[in-house]
Formats: sequence, structure tokens, C-alpha cells
Amino acid sequence: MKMNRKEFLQTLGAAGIAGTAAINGLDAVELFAQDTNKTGKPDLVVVRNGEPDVMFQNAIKALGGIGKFVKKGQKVVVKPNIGWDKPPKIPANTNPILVGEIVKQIMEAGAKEVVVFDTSCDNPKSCYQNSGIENAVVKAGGRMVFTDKKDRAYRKYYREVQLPEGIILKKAEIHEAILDCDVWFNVPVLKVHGGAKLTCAMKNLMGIVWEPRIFHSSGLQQCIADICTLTKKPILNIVDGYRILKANGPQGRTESDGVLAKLQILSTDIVAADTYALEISKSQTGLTLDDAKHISAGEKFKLGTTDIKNKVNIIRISL
Amino acid sequence: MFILKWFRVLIAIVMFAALMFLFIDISAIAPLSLHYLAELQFVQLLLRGGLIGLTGVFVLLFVTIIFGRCYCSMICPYGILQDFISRVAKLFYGKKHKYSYRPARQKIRNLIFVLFIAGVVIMTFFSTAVIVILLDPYSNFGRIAFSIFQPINIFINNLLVSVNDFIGNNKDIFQPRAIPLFDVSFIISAVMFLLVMFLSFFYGRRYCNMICPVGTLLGFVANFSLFRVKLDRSKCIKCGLCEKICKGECINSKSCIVDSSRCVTCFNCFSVCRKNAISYLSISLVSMNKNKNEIAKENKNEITNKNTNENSKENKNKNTKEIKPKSNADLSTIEIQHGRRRFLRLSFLSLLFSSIGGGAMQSDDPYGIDPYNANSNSTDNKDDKTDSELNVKSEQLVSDTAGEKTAVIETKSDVNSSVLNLEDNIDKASRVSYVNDTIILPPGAKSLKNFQSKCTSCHLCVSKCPSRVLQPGTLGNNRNVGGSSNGGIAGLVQPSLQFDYHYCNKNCTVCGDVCPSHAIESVTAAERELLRIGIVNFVKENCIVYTQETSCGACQEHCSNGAIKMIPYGDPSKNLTIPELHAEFCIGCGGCESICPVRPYRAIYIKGVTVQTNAELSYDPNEKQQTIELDFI
Repeated sequence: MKMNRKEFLQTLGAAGIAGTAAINGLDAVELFAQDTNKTGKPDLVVVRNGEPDVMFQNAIKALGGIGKFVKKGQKVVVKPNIGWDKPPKIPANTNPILVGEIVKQIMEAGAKEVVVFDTSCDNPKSCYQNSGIENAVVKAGGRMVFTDKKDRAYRKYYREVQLPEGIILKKAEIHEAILDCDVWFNVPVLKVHGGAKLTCAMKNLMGIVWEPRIFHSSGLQQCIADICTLTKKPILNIVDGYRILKANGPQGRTESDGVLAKLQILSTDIVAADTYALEISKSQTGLTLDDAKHISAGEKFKLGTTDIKNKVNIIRISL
Repeated sequence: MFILKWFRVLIAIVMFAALMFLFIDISAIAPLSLHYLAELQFVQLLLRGGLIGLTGVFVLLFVTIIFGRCYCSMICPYGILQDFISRVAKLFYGKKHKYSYRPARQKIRNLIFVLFIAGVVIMTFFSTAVIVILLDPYSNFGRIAFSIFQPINIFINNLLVSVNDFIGNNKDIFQPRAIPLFDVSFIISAVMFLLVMFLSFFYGRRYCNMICPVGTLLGFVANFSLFRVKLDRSKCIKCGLCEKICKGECINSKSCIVDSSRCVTCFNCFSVCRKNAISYLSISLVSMNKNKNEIAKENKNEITNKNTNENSKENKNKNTKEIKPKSNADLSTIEIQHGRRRFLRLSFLSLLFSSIGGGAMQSDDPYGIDPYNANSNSTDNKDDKTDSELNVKSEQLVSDTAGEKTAVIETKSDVNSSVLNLEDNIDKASRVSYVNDTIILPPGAKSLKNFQSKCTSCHLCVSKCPSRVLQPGTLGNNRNVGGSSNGGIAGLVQPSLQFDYHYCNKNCTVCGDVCPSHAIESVTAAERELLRIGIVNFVKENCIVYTQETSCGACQEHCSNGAIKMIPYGDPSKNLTIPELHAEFCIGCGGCESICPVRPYRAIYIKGVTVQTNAELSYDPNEKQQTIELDFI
């Protein structure tokens, strides 16, 4: 059988992870991970020039492997952006290959189950299907949870949570998948946005809230920061920059609204992830930190740092 | 003969189950191709018009003139629904449940039929569908299925979801769904359902034989049918079993007559007759004519022989010209022997055959197909009585039609003007409140006129709309933003798009694909993408960015065609942007209106268009996606 580069690397990566886990056990991987960062700064891994799954394999290895974030028997949620009924080539949704790879690795790390969901804007069924994410997740052994913000029957799956730190948003109804899981991964796609200017890791949290209309009606930028003060923060933010939506965000009309950048950013620091994503794509989007005010608002809540040059340990991988 | 009944039952169950499944299915598992069954319906074919529609109508009439009203017992889901209810009544009452012969309520039938014909004319030329909407049997079924049975299905589904959640199973199997609120459509359906339940529970097919205009028309045609249910006097012992089981209430066992105009060929009588006295496949002209005659007597319509003889002579002349049979001698013999009724029937049949067979039948003797010569005896006078009775009735029919037409047209013109007067009001709107009384039609409706003159509100499109943006109309004419609905009395519950929470996905063509009367034409995905169903309007004074000076952009976020651009606004240090419209790109999908957070009068909303045209493409479809390499920071 002829193997192309992607398949080869995939196999290699999978074998590597399996091998490490089998020989050293999870603790060893953690030790190794701690060794990589002695600075005490949060890690930020940026990878480029690879396929989404290959980039993720390399990036997560640099962070110490998926086992650092997921323990055996845990219930895990992966929250990608599946907002729009668009094919993968228009980067309105997170890349399905990336989501599939994440789910696969989490399952291999011994998680009890992986749930994937988003509160879509378009017809949820079409979004799940046409984005390719449903297919990829089911193939990788995960489970899609269906929700529809336009149908009040789904409201029972959202529970009210207090946000004591929030300035505008004092409470929000959050999907029970997030509230009931052990850890969750935030997997946004890097896009420009008409209202929030940038939609990335922080903005992606709007997808766990019932009826986000209040965000728009009472100050979008501050509300995004407010929802990020949720006690149950994502354990890791994985920014999909394989294709970046540079115009007509957050939906995009056509493939040429996006650019193929083959980028991926991983960070435990949600603010740093957004800042880095914004800075690196500046040439395409033309955005500055002043535009996307929710990022600096997040910094004020001490959710992370925008000073990526000094306060973040950046690991750069070019494939 | 049992096989006939079971054949009928089998076809009916398949037909009913398929259509019911299509209507109540909420998980999009029913194949949309089932909608072809809905396209077989009489009124839908009639309104569809064109070659296919009229051919369909013709075929149905043809089938009826051969086999009787099998349409009513096998194709019409409303009729089958009544059969189900009758069946339940039978289970409920057991042997006590029986029918008895009733004379036809021909005046009511004719009146409603005339009303219906007037309704079709008004609908076609003046776009007021209300009469047809209320009288069309299939649409009544559709509304009942959608407004009553689908909510029941949703309720059961939600129960299963709760059970599923309770036992902690995966949630993928069942998805919950909110039960729709009661609306005008529900009230109309419920009233019709109760009426039909009552009638069919106690009186079998009385709705079909008294109210339904399609039943009246097909009944009239069935009077001439080749095959029909009949009782054999020589075998019949007048036990009355067939009469008791006849849900058409059309068998008079005492005088051994079957009123073919009300017989829906259910063949139930075959299964109870112990003397094998009921037949379908052959027909005796004698008994038929006697039957007719006796019915006429019962109705106490005595007509003198003199009159009828004159009538028949006149008609004789006309018919000879039309048919051009082999020889005058043949014709006159037959005329004398069998009377005008039979002659009419045969000539009509031969016309049908000749037109279908491309004239092949014309070379044959048109009477060669007559299997009844052997039985025929001289019954001139009796025949003629029935005929003249018919003539009187048809005269009534004509006069009724004329009166009815004018009356309804007058009332109609008022309503229509208020519906069609769409485009004003908005620009004169006050600072924060405005009126939007436009109707937003589903993609493929072409124009308001086209839609309103074809849609019978069967709600199949509503039931199948994946976005649930297509909703039954309410009687309110004013669709204020965030408010209820539109439609007005003219269109009664004709569906339209409601953007209060949902919007019309531009990738979706389901409504046009399923519409049985082609009020919504099927459009291809490529056509759909640019098909404009409405046009965007922006009320800056209501916009969040203007009133509160915070970012929003929800409308731009949901705009799929680039008709909304966010442009810098106000104090540059605040980095605010406000929507700017590029209406030439707007297809009216309603994304912006559905998401605009301003209440009660939204800052952005869609006005319906009366004629659906194409929007411009806002991008170059040939432009390729760029590949770039970004530098690390």
C-alpha cells in the first residue's frame, strides 16, 4: 500500500503516543511535560505547515501529550465552532479533521466518553452534517450532542450558572454537557467577525450559552469576557488556523473569503491564545487589540495575558 | 370478490400510512419522494394546471368513469381517515354499529360543489383561496395531520426523550422538540376534524357524500361508470346486511338499488352478502335504470313523459353529430332500446378511448365495447324520466354558479387589496415603531399571485421545513416585527415565512420539492442561492450600536450573502461599526431579522416581495482560496 506523507505521519504519531503510554505510563508523560517548561509561564504552542491532524499531534506532544489533560475514565467535552451550514473549505467552522483527531486522541487516552456539541446558528442538523464534523467525530469514537437554540424544548439541557465576576452578565444558562463533564477542550476557528471583530477562543464560549441574544443587546465585547469568567474553564484552547476567514466573517460567503494558512495554536491561556491568533493573522485580517476589546477585557479579569512576548512561553514548530 | 375489498384496503392503508408518515415525521426520516402521493390528489392536480395537471385530472375522471369512485376509497387520505374512524366506531359498538340507506342530499351537494367551482375560479383569477382551502379534502387532511397528529407525535417523542434522559442513555436517538402553540390553523383543523369524526363515527362517508366537492364531482361521473356495485334482484333476499354495512349509505336493500354517485367502491357489502347477490364486474343496464328510476320516485320528482320525450329527441340529434356512428340504423335501434342515458355514457367513453388511443378506437364500432347489449330491454320512458330530472338539476347548477360567483368576487376584492398593498408604510415609520404587513413567500413561489392562486394550505411544506421558518398564516394581516404573522382572510392559513426566531437557509429547497399543487415550484440549489424572497430594511434609530453605543453585528453575522457590511461608526476610539446595507445582494433569508436583539421593533427586518427575482452575486465565484505562510511572532 502506498502511503502519503500525511498518513505516514499519522501512523507515526499514533504509534508514538501509544508506545509512550504503553512503556512509560501517563505519569512519565507528565514528568516529561513539566520538564519542557520550567519558566512558570503558560505554554503556547504554535505549529504551521502541516495538515490539521499532524499539526495537532506535534503540538500536543510539545505540550506533553494529551494524557496531561485527560485522565482515564473521564467524561470529556470538545467544543468546536459548528455555527454555520458551510463546507470545510469555507472556514466558518472548525476543521473536521482536527476535531476528529482530538476526539481520537482523547479516546485513546482512556476517556470514558467524548461529547462534541455547539449551539449552531444555522439549522443544527445541516451544520453538523455539512461541516463534516459529525462524521469525523463519530468515526473517531465520539458522540455528537444535538442542540437547537431556536427550539425551547432544548432549554432543559441548559442550567443557570452565576458569574459573580461578570460586569454585564451576572448569570448565564450553560449547556449541561459542559457543566457535567470532567474537562473540556475549546476548539475555535480563527475568523473575523462583524461585531466582535475577532472570533476565536473567547468568542467560542458563546456557543455553550442558551439564547446568546443578550450578548448582542447589552454589549457584545464585555459579555464575551464575562462568560469567560465561568468557573469551569476549558483545560486547553486549540485554535484552528488551518484556514483563516479573513473577510465576511463569521460566516464567509465563498472559499476566497478564507486563506489557507496551515496554522494551529494551542494554549491553556485563553487570552494569550486569542492575542497570538490576532497578532499572527494581522496581515490578513487587519485587526488590532483595540478592535477586539473582549481580549483586553479578559485580561482585566485575569483570565490570561495579552503580553505574549514576555509572559508566555511560546513553542514554535514549523513542519 | 373478497380480493377486491382487500385490494382496496391494502392500497388505502399504504396511501394513508405513507402520507401520514410524511406529515407527522419530525426527524426528517420520511423520504420526500412520498410527496408524489400528494400530487395524485384531485384538487392539487386541478390547481397545478398545465399539461401534467390537466392530464392527471383527466386520468382520475377516466378511472372514475370506468371503476366508480375508487379515488375516494383508495387515494384520498381524508376519505381513508374517515374509514379509520368508522372502523373505530365499529370496534366501539360492535354489531350495534350499522348504517341505513338515506336519500342523497343532492341540493346540499350541488350547492357546495358550485361554491367550490366558484372558489376555484376566484382562486385562480383573484388569488383568494379561502373557499378551496376549506373544501379541499386533501388539504383538510394535511392540516389535521400537521396540526393535530404531528403535535401528538412530538409529545410522544418528547416522552421518549425524557425516558431516555432518565435512564442516562445517549441522547442521539430522540431529539426533543417544542410542541407548537395553538394557532388559527389548529382551530380550523380541529373544527374540521371534529366534524369529520362525528360524521364518520355515526354516518360513515356522509362527509364525502354530502360536503366534499370532489366526492360530488366524482359521484356525478360515477353515475356513468362502467363497473359498479349492483344487487341482483333474482338472488337478493332483502336481508339488509349490505345496507347495514354500507358506509356510503347508498344501498337501498328493500328496492335493491345502489346509488352509484355515493358508492365509494369500498366493497364492504361483498363480504356480508350470503347470497352472492352483489356484483361489481358486470353491470346490468336494466337494474341500473330501475335504480335510478326508483331514486327519482323517492325524491318525488315527477316529470311527464311528454317533456322527456322531447328532450331526448333533441339530444338524439346532437349526439349523432358528435359521434358519427357507423350507420343511422344502428344508432336509432340503440337509442330506442337503451335510451339516452346509456347513449351518453357510451359516447363519452368512446370519446375518452379515442382521445387516449390516438384515434385508434374510432375505426372500431364505438358500440363494440358495450358488454351490456344482451341484457338491454326497452325501458325508454323510465330512462327519460331520470334524464330530464338531471336536466332540471343542471339548470339549477348553472344558475347557482352565476349567483355565487359574483357574491364571492365582491367580498374578495376588498380583502385582496389590503393584502397586495405591501410596499408602503415603512419609510414613513416613526422613530422606533413601524408596520410591516408584507408577506414573505417561500423560495420558488414566484409571485404572490401565483402562490395565492395555487396554495391550498395543506401544510406539507410547513411540516417538512427543516428550519421551521415556514409557518401557517394567521388571520392577522400585520406582521409587526417580533409579532405574529400574516396571511389575512384571503389566504386564510396559507403558509409564509416567519423570521421571529428562524430564517430561511439558502441551501434548502425542501418546500418547493414537496409542494403538491406547485404553488411553490421546485428550484435547484444553484437557482435558490440567489433567489430573492424579500428585501432588507434597516432602522438605524433602533440599532443597538446607535442607541447604546456598543458592538453588536448580529445581523451581519447572519447575513449569508454579503448584503450587510459593518462600517465604522461614531467615536473612532470606541471602534464601533454599524450595519450598512447592500440591498442588491439581499435574498431576504431573514437571518438578520431573526437575530436582531432589539424588541419589539427590530432594527433590521425583511419586507416581502410580490415577485421573486434574483439578487446579485456579491463575490466572484471563480476566485480561488489563497495559500499563505504566516510568520511566527
